[in-house]
Amino acid sequence: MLKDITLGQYFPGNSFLHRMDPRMKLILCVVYIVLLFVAKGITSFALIVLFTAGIILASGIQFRTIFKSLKPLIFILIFTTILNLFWNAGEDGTVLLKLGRLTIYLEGVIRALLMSLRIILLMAGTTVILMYTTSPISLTDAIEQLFAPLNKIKIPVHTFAMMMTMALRFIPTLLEETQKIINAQKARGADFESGNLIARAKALVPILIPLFISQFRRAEELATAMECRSYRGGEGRTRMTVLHFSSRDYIAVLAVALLFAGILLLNRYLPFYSI
Amino acid sequence: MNAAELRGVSYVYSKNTPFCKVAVNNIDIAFEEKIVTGIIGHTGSGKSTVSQMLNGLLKPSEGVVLVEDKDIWSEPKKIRNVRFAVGLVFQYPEYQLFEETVYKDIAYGPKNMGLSESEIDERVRMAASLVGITEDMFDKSPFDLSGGWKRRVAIAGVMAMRPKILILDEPAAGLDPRGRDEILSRIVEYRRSTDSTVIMISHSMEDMAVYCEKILVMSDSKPFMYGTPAEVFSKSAELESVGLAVPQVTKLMTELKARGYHVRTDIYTVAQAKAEIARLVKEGAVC
Ligand SMILES: Nc1ncnc2c1ncn2[C@@H]1O[C@H](COP(=O)(O)OP(=O)(O)OP(=O)(O)O)[C@@H](O)[C@H]1O
Ligand SMILES: [Mg+2]
Repeated sequence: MLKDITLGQYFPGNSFLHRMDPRMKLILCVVYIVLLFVAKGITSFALIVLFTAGIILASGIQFRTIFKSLKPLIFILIFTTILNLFWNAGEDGTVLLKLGRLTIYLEGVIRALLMSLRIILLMAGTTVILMYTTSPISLTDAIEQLFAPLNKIKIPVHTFAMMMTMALRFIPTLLEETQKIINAQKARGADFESGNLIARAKALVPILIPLFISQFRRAEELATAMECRSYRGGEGRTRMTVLHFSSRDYIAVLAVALLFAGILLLNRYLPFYSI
Repeated sequence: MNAAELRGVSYVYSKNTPFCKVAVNNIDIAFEEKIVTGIIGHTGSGKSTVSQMLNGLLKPSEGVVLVEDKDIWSEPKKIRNVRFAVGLVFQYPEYQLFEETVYKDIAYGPKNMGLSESEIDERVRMAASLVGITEDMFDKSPFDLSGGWKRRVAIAGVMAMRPKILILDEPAAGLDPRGRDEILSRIVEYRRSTDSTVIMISHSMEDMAVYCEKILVMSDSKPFMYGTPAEVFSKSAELESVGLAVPQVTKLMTELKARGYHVRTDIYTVAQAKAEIARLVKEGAVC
């Protein structure tokens, strides 16, 4: 079912991560990504793995859900692994295997593993911090507020944020509606599975036309509804939920700062096969 | 013989996710052949889920669905044939229209069945006349029609496949009383003229009372009551306990009885109530 796509889906909850300020989450998420690229050796990666496992536990999201969200990465992972496997470690590398002109070094294997790990952590960490535990609405709120200074150079931050909020808000509706129309046409015997490419493309017409029509209708209704409530853009608007940092956010900052320090120290003193 | 049957059927939406939701919970229902059966129930009681399982759009998480005593999922590859035999009209079907003309839209289903040109033409004309669409409307764009007419085109689109079982999810939702009566009576007419089975979902007790021979009441993902309108509506207390109400005329008769008039309370249509009150007046019980 279309609805089962988990990418960018919010899991309502009440965990430590859910209750953090979205602005802080956004900032810390960027720091986390930077850290992933600062980390060099097996030891520093191990530290990040521990940290990520910690935030997953703190988020109350099941590990199974996270693994499921990693599925689309499978090809990138295979590709990365194969490329790095044949990395040439040069003179002082430990040779593991010689396959004709190809040589596999121990360093290459480790490099392949760490690179894949980096991609996995990148996906898992950011989805848990931002996607799964932050509602799209508060995420755009956070973006709007963090970028507010750009208003000074005449960039309509509010308008962009509003557009994003609306787009995000209507993705589930759109998916639901698509599913409904697909079902309705299937009930009339539509066949999307057989036939050649042209026949299949043609089979999509009965879905796309009703979908477009209803989206245009919806857009128009939404615009009217907003105007009826005197919506006029960002100027002078007050907010229903005012964001503010709490002790929770400072604890998170501390945790990430410790992680940062830990990685720098490990990189320097205990690199252990650094890449 | 039963037209369709659900045996030990459950359906769970978004299984194995935090959004998992049991919509239908281990139910056994049999739909009798060649009658109009109504399904009522409060919102979210699983009516639409049942209807979509009957024509193979949803595969039950557990249990079997039988249509004419055959398990519809015994050959998953042939599920399209089940959809031709069990026609399903969705709620607000007007949103599924897409062709340039009314005629082409009604012909979409029969065309998918792989029928011959002449057979398609004959079926389109039959279905159109059943819902009251005249030939001069055939070349109009369905998008230029009013909501009620769009709905008729959509219903005709499913009728044209001439399903042995026709299921309609709230066919009268959002129509004015006259449009409602007209559509519902045409559905009953379809059943009579094609000798098929009709199952329709509705929220309106009044409509159910008038147009259905049997009524299935659903509550909390399970069947709650089944019987003729008279049987079902005589249990007003039970219906109210699951958030449903009996038709207003039935309420009126119950109230009259409570005030000491000797009237029947198994009355559920205005016509019956009229006759009963006329009898009461004639016998001089009212002054
Ligand atoms: N696509 C879906 N994904 C997840 N849950 C769903 C989906 N469709 C329905 N449900 C849930 O399943 C339950 C039964 O839904 P269903 O649509 O069968 O109810 P219904 O009796 O038809 O209600 P209504 O009278 O409002 O049409 C509801 O609680 C609903 O929230
Ligand atoms: Mg429904």
